[in-house]
Parts: sequence; C-alpha cells; structure tokens
Amino acid sequence: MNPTESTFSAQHDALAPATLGRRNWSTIFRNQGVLMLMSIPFLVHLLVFRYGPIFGWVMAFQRYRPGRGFMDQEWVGLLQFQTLFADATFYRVLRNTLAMASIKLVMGTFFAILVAILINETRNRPFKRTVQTISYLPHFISWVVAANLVLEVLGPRGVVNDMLVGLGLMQERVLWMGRPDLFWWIIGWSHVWKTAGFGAIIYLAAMTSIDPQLYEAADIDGAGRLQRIWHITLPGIKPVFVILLILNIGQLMEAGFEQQYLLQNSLVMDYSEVFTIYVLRYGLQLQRYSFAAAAGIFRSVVSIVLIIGANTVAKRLGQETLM
Amino acid sequence: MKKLFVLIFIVALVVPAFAGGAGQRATTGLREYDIFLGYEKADYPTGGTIFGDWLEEQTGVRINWEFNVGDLQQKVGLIAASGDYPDAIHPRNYTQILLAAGAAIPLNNLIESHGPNLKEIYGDRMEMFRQPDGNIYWFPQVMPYGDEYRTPNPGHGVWVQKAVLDYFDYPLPNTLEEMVDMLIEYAKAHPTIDGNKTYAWTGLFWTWREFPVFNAPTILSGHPNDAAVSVDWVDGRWKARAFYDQEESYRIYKLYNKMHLEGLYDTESFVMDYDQYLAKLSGGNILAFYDQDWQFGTVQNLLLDQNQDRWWVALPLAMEGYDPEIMNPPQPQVSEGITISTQARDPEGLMEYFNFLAKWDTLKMRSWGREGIDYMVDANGLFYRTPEQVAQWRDQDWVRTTYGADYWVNFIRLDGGSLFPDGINNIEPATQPSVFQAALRPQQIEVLEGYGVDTFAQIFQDRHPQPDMRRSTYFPAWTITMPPDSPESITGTRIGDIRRRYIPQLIMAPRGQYDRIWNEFVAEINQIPQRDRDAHTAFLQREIDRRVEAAGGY
Repeated sequence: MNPTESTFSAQHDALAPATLGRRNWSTIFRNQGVLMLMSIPFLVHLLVFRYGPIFGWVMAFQRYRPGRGFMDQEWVGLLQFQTLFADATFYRVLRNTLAMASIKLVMGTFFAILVAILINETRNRPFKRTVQTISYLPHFISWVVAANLVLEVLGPRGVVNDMLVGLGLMQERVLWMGRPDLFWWIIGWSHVWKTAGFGAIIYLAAMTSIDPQLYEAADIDGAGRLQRIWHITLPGIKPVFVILLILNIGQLMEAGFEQQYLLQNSLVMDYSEVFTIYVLRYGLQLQRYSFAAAAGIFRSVVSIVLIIGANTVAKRLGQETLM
Repeated sequence: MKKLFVLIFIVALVVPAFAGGAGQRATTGLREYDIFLGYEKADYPTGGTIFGDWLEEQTGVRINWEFNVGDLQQKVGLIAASGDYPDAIHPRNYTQILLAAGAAIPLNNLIESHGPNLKEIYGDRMEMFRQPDGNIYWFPQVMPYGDEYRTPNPGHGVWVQKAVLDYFDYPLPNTLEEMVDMLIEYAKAHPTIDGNKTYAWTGLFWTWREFPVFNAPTILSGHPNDAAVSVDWVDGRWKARAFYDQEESYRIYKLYNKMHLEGLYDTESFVMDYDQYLAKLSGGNILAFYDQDWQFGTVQNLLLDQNQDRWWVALPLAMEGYDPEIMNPPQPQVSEGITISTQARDPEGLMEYFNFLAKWDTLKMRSWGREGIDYMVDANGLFYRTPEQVAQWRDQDWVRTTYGADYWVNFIRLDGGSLFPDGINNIEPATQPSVFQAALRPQQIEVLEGYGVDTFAQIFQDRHPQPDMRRSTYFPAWTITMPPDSPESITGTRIGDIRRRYIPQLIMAPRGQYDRIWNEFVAEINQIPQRDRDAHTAFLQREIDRRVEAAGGY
C-alpha cells in the first residue's frame, strides 16, 4: 500500500470521532458550510420535482376530473388498481415490457463492455479515438430521427433488403418491421447501435483506473492477451458493472417509450406495446388520469422492489452495492 | 460596485417578467383575441394575408393563432386541466372534454344580442347543436344552408385509376367483386408501371387517418362513413348496428385477402405513415383504393398536372348484395366547434367578430374572394371565374398563405354544396357548375365523356339519384364523442385495438388460413362482454336519436 495514503487515513480516523463525538454543529458548519449551502439547491430540486409529485398519487384513489377542485373529486378506493389488474391487455403489455427491457439490458451491457474492451486493447491512438467517437455519436440522435433511420434501413426498399436480395440470399424482399417475431430483437439491436458506444465510456474509465503494474506482472508470468482481459480487465471493472446492473434493474419497467412508439405498427402491436404506451393509450388519451396514476404507482413499486432485491442479492454475494 | 451590478442584474431579470403581460395589446391599436385551433396549419404569415388584412380592417380585430402540434387529445386535455384558456378554443372532436371541464361559456344570450347573422345562416338548424342543458356552447365547423344541395364531386368512393377505366372502356360494374377481378386482370397484363410493381389495392392504415381500411366494411357495404357503426333506415328510424364482427367485415377483408394472395395488395401500407402513403400514390402504380378526396387531393392534382392517366376516378361500388348508397349527404357537423372560453377577456367583442364572419358578404369573400379580381358576376348574377382566376386558385400555396382565408376555414362555415340565398350560386366555387366546368382538364373531360355525364357526381347519381337527405339529420355518426373516462369509450378503444391488430393479419392471411384467423379475431372480440359492446352501440344510437329529435324528429 502507498505509505502516504495510510498516514492520511490514520490521521483521518483519529480526528473523526473527536469532531463528531461532540456533535458541535457550529464547528461542522464552519468546516463544511459552503459545501452544505451548495448542496441545498439540489436538495430543493429533489424535494420539489421528485418528492412533491408523490402527492399526486392520491389521484389514483379518485376518479379525477380536470378543472375541478381537490375536494370536489370523487373517491373510489382501489377501483383503479382493480381495473388495471383485471385487464388482459395489461399482462400482455407487462410481458412485452419485461422482455424488451431484459433484452436491452443484457445486449446493451454485453456490447458496451465488448466495445470498451476492444477500444482499450487497441494501441493505435488516432484509430481508437475515431472508433470511439463514431460509436458514441448515435447516442446523441433523438429517437425520432433514429427510428426513421431504422425504418429506412429495414424498409422494403432499404439497405438490408437490397443487400440480401442483391447477394441472392433471399428471393423476395421482407417486410422486416411487420414481423412480430422479430420486433423485440429489432428493438434490442437498435438499442445496441444507439447506446453501446456511449455505454462503453464508463467501462473505459473504469479500465483506466486498473493498476498497469498488474498487467506488467501478468505479462512476466506469461499471460496472453485474452488471459489478461479475463483475469485483470474484467475483474477490474466488476464493481462498476455491478452498480450499473443494480441501477438498470431498477429501470426494468421502463423498457422505453419513444423507441417502441415510433417503430411499432399495427402488424406488431401484440409485441410492441410497452407499459408506457399502454398508460398513454388507455390512461392519458382517454382522460383517465386516475388510471394512469394507478399504473404509475404500480410501476414505481415494482421498480423499488426490483432495485432493493438486486441490491440485496449483490450484498449477499459480497459485491459492491448501492446502499 | 459589485452589489450594484447584482442589483441591476436582478432588476433586468425580473422587470421583463412583469412587463410582458401588460404591454402587448397597445401596440397594434387593434382588439386582439387568442384562438387555439385544433388543426395543424403553417404559422400565420407575419406579413399578413389578403383576406386576413381585409378582415382586420373591417373588424378592428387581430387574431393571435395557436395551431395544434402533435396529439390533439392530449393537448386539449392539458388545456382543460390547466385552467388557463385562450379567448376562443376549437378543440375539434374533443369539444366534450372542454365542456366537461366547464371551460366554455353558454352563448345563448350573446347570440340573441350580438349574433343576428349567425341566427340567419344557421336558422332552425341551430337546435341541432343545442346541448341537453338547453345551451349553445359552440359554432360548428360546417353546416348546410337551405334545402338545396349541389355538388359535382362525390367526395369519396372506390377510386380507380383512369388508365384502368380506359383499358376496360369506362365500365361501371355492379359489384366491387367484379371491379376487383378487373383490377387483377389489368395488373396481370401490366405487372409493372414505370418500373414499379403494380398493386391492385392499397389503404392508409395510420393514426386517425386509418378509416379507409378501418371503416371499409361499413362503407363498401353501401353506407356513408359513419365510422364505428352502419346506420340503416329500419322501420322508420335510423338504426345503428355494429359491423366489426359481422358478415360485411368478413367479406371485405376476404376480398382484400384475395388480392393479397395474387400478390397485388400493397402490404407495405400497414407500416406506412401518411407522407409515405402520399408518396406511394404519386408513384402511379396503385390501381385502386378507397379514400376520401381531401386525404390525397395534393397527389391527385399532381398527377393531373403531369397529364398522365394515373389519377383516379371515384366509382359508386359496394360488395355484392349491397346498394352502393355511399355518397355523403350534407354534413351538419354539430358535435364539435369553436367555443368561447370562460376566460375570454371580451366575449361580446368576440361574438361580434363571429357574427361578422357569418355575414353573407364575408362568406363570399372567404370562399370566392374579391369580386372582379378573384371572380366575376355575369348579367344573371351568376358567379364565374376566368381561366386565369381558375389557375390562380388552383395554386394551393397561394390560396393558403397568400390569400389566407384558409386560416378561417375551420369554423362558422357553410357547406360548399349549399347555395347562397340568391338560389343560383354555390357557397364554394369548386361546387359551382361553371367553375367546375372551367377547371376541367382534358383527361377529366375524357372520363366524363366516357361515362356520358357532366360531373363526377353524376356517375354516382346514375346509380343512386341523390344522397339520402334524411340522413343529414344525424350524419355523420363519427362525430359523436363519448365522455372521456366513460365505460363506452373504453370499450370503443378496446374493440378498435383488437381490430387494429387483426385487420392486417386477415388481409395478409396465407391461403386457407383466413377462416382460422377470423375465428381467432371473433374469439378475442367476444372476450369483451357482450353487454359492454351493446352499451357502446346503444350510446351511439341514443345520440343519433337525440340529433334527429333536435333536427325536428323522425
């Protein structure tokens, strides 16, 4: 261990109990006041925009009508939730949401790490830079544009059909976007195309923090390139991987909205409608704000359960965790 | 010094926030009203328009337009929930949402005191949009005037390419099935057109514009477009009947499926949006489709301009065994319109403005233009247009953004097929016989001669003399809006979604699979309790009856 680092932590440990033990707030404030003040706006932002709207949840227990006062609303108890769980469409939508979210999570993570490793292993700097820039650029395109690119490429007169027919691999052009069995995978692959490069950045950052001495030692021990990746690079990014995984599992109920909304059509509706689209179609568009709120609560609760579950599992396995 | 800067900075930030609201109105010297219009339009030209400038000069009123962008239903919901309303709102078919939120004021007294012209143009038909509580809350987009109705264009029908009609020497087959056989025969004789594969049929199946495919069962079994139900005259009443799981649905999609099995139904249409549909049509390789003329008018004009035979003529066709009574009767569009909001700053002034729009001279100015410049009047008082004027008014860009009456087209307007009180001139030039004749192109005359008629509507009238005028007491049923959040409207959405998923599957069914998919479809429909589905139809029936009562009863 680095000698200076150990001295510092020793001093720090010695100081800490004394300061905190006295609970001298004025001292704490004198030392950290500026930092505290600086964090207030963020705290306020969270309270106003993240916690404040929770009061809107009461709407889920009403039959909310716009333009009426709070006291004039009709209270209906758990009716909205009963309606939600009694709806057959809801379960289909739930299936689609979880399926697409899982596909996106697995493929997105896998390819982000793959791209990061490939870029990390490349030694030619200009090439590395170029590849990195090109690969993360799609992240900055809005889905409205990206979806049109996908539709164009996979269209009946698109590049994919041109190529397959031109090479004689297929006799007829295929309506790719009209194939229900392929829709989830089109979502998955377009997600990879759009996010893998950007997702790689964070893993690349984690890789740069791996001690080069480890690689040198492995080299001396005769480890090949793949062995170095397997035994040093991957374990080195594991903490980041686990944290990101926990965070992403919390997002499983949000398989996306724009992506599916813009890519779907009547041929694939069975497989394309995700929770957010369902809430829009059967909630907001029918002015069923209460129903939409109930669905929103359901989604939040599932997300919280998922994230705490993932965190607990990670903790049991002795991994880095969030909480 | 530093503090002074901070102070100036804060003042500079805060002051405009207060100034913004107050200063706006004095600048022009005109009364200003904010209108939200639930239609998508180009921004009002900053330099003004011919009609708009004239109107400003006459009324001393300037309108600040806000047009709809994106999903109208959400937008109207948002306006209703916000409680922050412009002076006047035209929420289109979501007018009920505003009403439920209490955002619109009753207009009865204002009409009495400030609306003599409005009373004149609407006459007794005003009862048709009086609400159950006895109040009038809006002025409809379009209403017929008087009892006479004259139009040279049928407006919708089965559009068949002129080249096909030419090939078969202007046929008028008795059934849609015969026409489909002809289309298949033609497509086999001409597998490609200008290098593109020939398709016998296509149909727009996208957002609210999906009705060409979605409502095909009712329309092509010989009904005007009532959307969710077929409305028939049964035992002295207009009777609404759901068709989604009935014979006509089964048969029409099976007929489309027949074309598909020949490889002639344009299956790409299921993934096309509106722009792609127009682009597709302009390729000239689509032989026929069902639609309404306003949906593809731009393409039709384009193809006519190119002087080719790839444009389409509407034919009165229905499936075998049905009477092709599909010509639309005049449409009193009573269920939606422009409202004055509870926050209007000057309801009286706004009503005066609406009243001015309903003046006969204003109506003339809105549709015909300026006398002597945009139209002429002959010795008998008949309006006509010179060839130059016809050419000028054919230029849609000029009409929309230079002349500009198009910005006022969506409210307080009379049906183009109706006549002015003089009894000889149509409300709109396009329906005036002389203008129609003058605007005809040589290819169009060829078709008319082929069928031996003077107008395209006559092709329909030869088969079915007149649209059933009795229908105009309720028509169209698609404007019936159900209260949001009502079980009926949820049922409607459900039925619609199931149909939306199955129609493409039915049309694209592999050989021998059609019945299996149809049974699956019916099974899924049956999962919605019969009682809910009946309630949905019953709601429409009640509203149809209410409209008929308001229009004077059966």
